[in-house]
This record gives sequence, structure tokens and C-alpha cells, in this order.
Amino acid sequence: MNSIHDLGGMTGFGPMPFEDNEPVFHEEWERRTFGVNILSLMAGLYTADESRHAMERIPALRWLKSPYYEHWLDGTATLLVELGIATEEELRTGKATEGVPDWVAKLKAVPAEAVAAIVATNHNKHGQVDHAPLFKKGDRVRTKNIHPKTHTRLPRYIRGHVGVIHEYRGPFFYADKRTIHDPEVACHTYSVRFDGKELWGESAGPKDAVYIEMYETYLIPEQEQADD
Amino acid sequence: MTDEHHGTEPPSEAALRIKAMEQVLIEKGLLEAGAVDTIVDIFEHQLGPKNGARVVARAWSDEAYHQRLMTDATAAILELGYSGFDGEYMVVCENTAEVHNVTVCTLCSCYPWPTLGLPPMWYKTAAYRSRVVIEPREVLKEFGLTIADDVEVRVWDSNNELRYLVLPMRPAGTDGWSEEQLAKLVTRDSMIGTGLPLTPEQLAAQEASA
Repeated sequence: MNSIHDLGGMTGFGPMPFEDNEPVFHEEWERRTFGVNILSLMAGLYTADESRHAMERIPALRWLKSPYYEHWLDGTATLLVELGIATEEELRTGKATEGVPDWVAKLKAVPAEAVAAIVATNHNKHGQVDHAPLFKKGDRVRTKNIHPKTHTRLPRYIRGHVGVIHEYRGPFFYADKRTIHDPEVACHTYSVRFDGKELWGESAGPKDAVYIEMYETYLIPEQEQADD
Repeated sequence: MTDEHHGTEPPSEAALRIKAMEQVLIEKGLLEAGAVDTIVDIFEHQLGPKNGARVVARAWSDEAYHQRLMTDATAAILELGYSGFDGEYMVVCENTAEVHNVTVCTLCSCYPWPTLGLPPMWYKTAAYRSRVVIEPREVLKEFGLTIADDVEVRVWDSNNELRYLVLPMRPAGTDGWSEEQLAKLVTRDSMIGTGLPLTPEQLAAQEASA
């Protein structure tokens, strides 16, 4: 979706803000928000892709005004309500009055003593793709000019541009589908190199390039038209 | 204050909201109260740039390790005991005299947690995310880092499952240094690509003033 989270290439956010001796978290509510979000994910309530998508759906003006961890808080609340895990009333009062869907009732809280091992585990993010990769290292590709209303990892600044396949990376779970309840779909994924001049024209610096991962579904051979 | 994403002035409403959410999830048996403290402790005290600095120092000291790191970064990083969330598929980008690498996540805030911990606030801001892909050299200047025009700047936008760690160039004047000594030169920003490692002189000055 073309929402405010898709920031690459925009102007108007000011110089880099620096903070000396910055703590990992500034406030207790940030700690709790981070912990509750990650533990809910670990318990199986939702995927990281769904969590990102929920944050992307925060209205633009609110998104811009709210601090980083408030995005996490809003996103988690949105998912809990949408998935039928909690009602808005419950989240307001802090009192559980409603049941949960059957699939949620089967899930369990992550025990404190299990947390460290789960966090340190390299969880698989590869799935099955039923065809060989269509592109190989060195191929010139064009990104599609698409504007889905749903979640995508194809940023606007990359759409419709020509790049070169830098590496094949593997058959990764397909975030675009995971967020619309198709969690097992995977897609061949490549690192693609885009020259700065291709993306930004004369505004590009000398010898700049962007490397970004592209699902195969985002790509077409260079000769084809991006909006086909 | 030009940046709206700073976390220093939270609305007290947020504190109330997260407390209510936590209580509801606990009552429904989906969250264990102590688990939040445990996970926060891991991210505040165990994961952080000290881990990544060990990886870099090993790569500087041991050519066979360096090779393994460049071919299969996830496995090489696991050799030092670092793995897990947001580090499952690691790629190391090596700086050379010809190429300077810098990492970002323009769509959210993806970052290599096992080796660097949670990102600094600036990494998550709209300012960094919007600008570093279009004017990386200007952004790096604000970090005090000027990249010569004949050096290629590669910006790695971590928009998918891969996470990037920059391998900076080993500073001059460090021949014969141990891995432990070398690790002290490796800053967080040098592994994001927005800085360079300390020089031996900078480290000495830092240790003298500490």
C-alpha cells in the first residue's frame, strides 16, 4: 500500500536527529509495548508481516505525530481486535470479558523460561516454490509498476525501474500473501542492484547504488513494459 | 526538535493502553507476566553492538573466518554464538577502498538484532529512512563521514528477510593487536555503515577521558 511508511526518497523530515548516550528504551511503556508485541508473535497470534502491515494502516497524520513505539502499540491493538482476540472495550478497561476464537484457544502463553531459547533460534523463513528461479545473477530486470492496496515490500521509489540481479537469495515466505491469510506461500527472492542515476536521475550522487531484495513476482525481464 | 519520532515525551495514554493490553492477554492465558521482563532484559542487556564487534574483530584477525563470513554469514556469526530473531538470514557487506556500504530499512525498521541489538532512534526516523537512499553522501556527512567521489556508495535497503552487517576496513596501526583489542575499535555506526571504526589514537583518547 502507498502509505506514509514508504519513505524512500521523500524530502521534508529534517536533518539527522542524534542523541548522546541513548538508552535502548526511553520509557517503561516502550519496554512493555515491545515485549507484548514480540511475545504475541512468538505465541503464534500473528506474523511479523501482519504486525508491519497493521502499523502501515495507521492514518498518516497520526503516524507522523506519534512516537515510534506508539506505532507498535497501535499495530498490536489493531491486530488483537481484527483477529477477534480482544475487543476495543477490553483493551480500554484491561478486563477480559469475551472468549477467543478456537484457533487462539489452542495457543499458549510463552513461558518466561522459554523466551531466551526462542529468541536465539534461527527460525526458518523459506517455503516451497514449484518452479526454478526465473532469473539468474547478472540478468537485467524491470520492477513492475504496481500499487496494491494491501501489504507489499516493493517500495514506490523502486517501481518501474531497471536493475541487475546481484544474487539469488532463496525461496522466502511471501509477505504480500502472508498478510492476506496465505502464510505458507513462498517466492523466489533476489538482491537487485539499482544504479543511483536510474532511480534519481541527475539528483543521484557520484557512483551511488541501492541494493534491495525483490520477490520474483515484482520483476519482469527488462524489455517488457512495467505496467503490463 | 524537528523529528516527531522521538520517544522521550510519551503520552501517558500509551502507558495506560499497554497496561490494559497486557492484563487482557494475561487473563486470556496468552501472555505470561514475567516473560515481558525476560525479553526486555535480553534486548537491553544481552544483544547489542558488542556482539557484532566480536564478529568484525574475528574477521580482521582470522582470514579463514573472514572467508566463511563472506560466504555464509549466518553460520559464521553462529560460530560466535549469535543467532535468532532478525538475524536468521545474515549478509555481510565488506567495505573496501572502492566501496562503502550503508544499511537502512525504508519501509519499517529492520535491523540485525543478534549482532547489533535494537536500532538507535535515528535509524528508525523518517529523516534517515527517506534520505539515505537518495542522498547517502549528504546523510553520511551529518555523521561526520565524507566519502570521496571515486568511492561507490552502496545503500542496502533491508526490505525483506535478509539482515545486513557492514564489515568496516581494519584501521591502520593495529598490526599485532588481539581480537579483544580490535573489538574495542568497532563502533555500532561502523557496522551500520554510517561511521568508521575508531583509530588507535581515538581509542586511546577515549580511554584516557573515561
